[in-house]
Amino acid sequence: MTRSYLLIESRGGHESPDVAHLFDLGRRLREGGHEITVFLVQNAVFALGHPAELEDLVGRGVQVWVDGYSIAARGLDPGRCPQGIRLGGAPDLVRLLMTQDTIPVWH
Amino acid sequence: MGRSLFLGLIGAPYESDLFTTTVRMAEEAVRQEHEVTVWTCGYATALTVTALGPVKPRNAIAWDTAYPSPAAIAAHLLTWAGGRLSWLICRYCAEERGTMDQMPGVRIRPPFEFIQRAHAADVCLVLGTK
Repeated sequence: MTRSYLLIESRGGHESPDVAHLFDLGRRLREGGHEITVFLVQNAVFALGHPAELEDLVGRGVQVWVDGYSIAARGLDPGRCPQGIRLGGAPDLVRLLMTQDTIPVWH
Repeated sequence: MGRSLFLGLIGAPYESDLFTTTVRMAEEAVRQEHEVTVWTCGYATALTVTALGPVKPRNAIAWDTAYPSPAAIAAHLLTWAGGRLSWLICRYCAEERGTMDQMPGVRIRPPFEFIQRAHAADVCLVLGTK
């Protein structure tokens, strides 16, 4: 049975090794045929500085969003958002979260 | 159609911008016509204590600017949401941390209600845990 997961990452890769695990979880769930959305907020947006992993997720069919507010708060350039990665905000996050039958995970 | 959202705010609130994220999500969920419950545990219960007052301590490099305290932001959100948002705090956590003196509008609830309310909501998201 296909399920829909929303993985919300709030930490940067230098803050917690579990960030890589969350991305890996998304990758594996996707391989299992599930619909996966990864939403980066807070320090997680620093992942844009080394986007290979995010691009890999996108290439596997994972929807990846980054929070524009968190980008602005950290002085990052939203123009650095690689192709395929969506720039969003709280309205998008809440819309995804409140979608019927979505299983949210916060890290 | 509006649904119910339970946001658990756990952990040290000043360690990151967790409070900001919670407030942004709660506000947007109300805007999208959902019913929101914010439940705080641990030191997050200190975000809404009366002693914080309406503004933060003065900023030395912006002396004349008044920044709202987390308590004032929560109070504003409660007023603005007009009954579509509840802000609850865990009694056990509050007693343990001396944060029982809460601003009006915030309700102190027994700890077992956390799981009851989390289960009862259409969507439950606990922020600040691993």
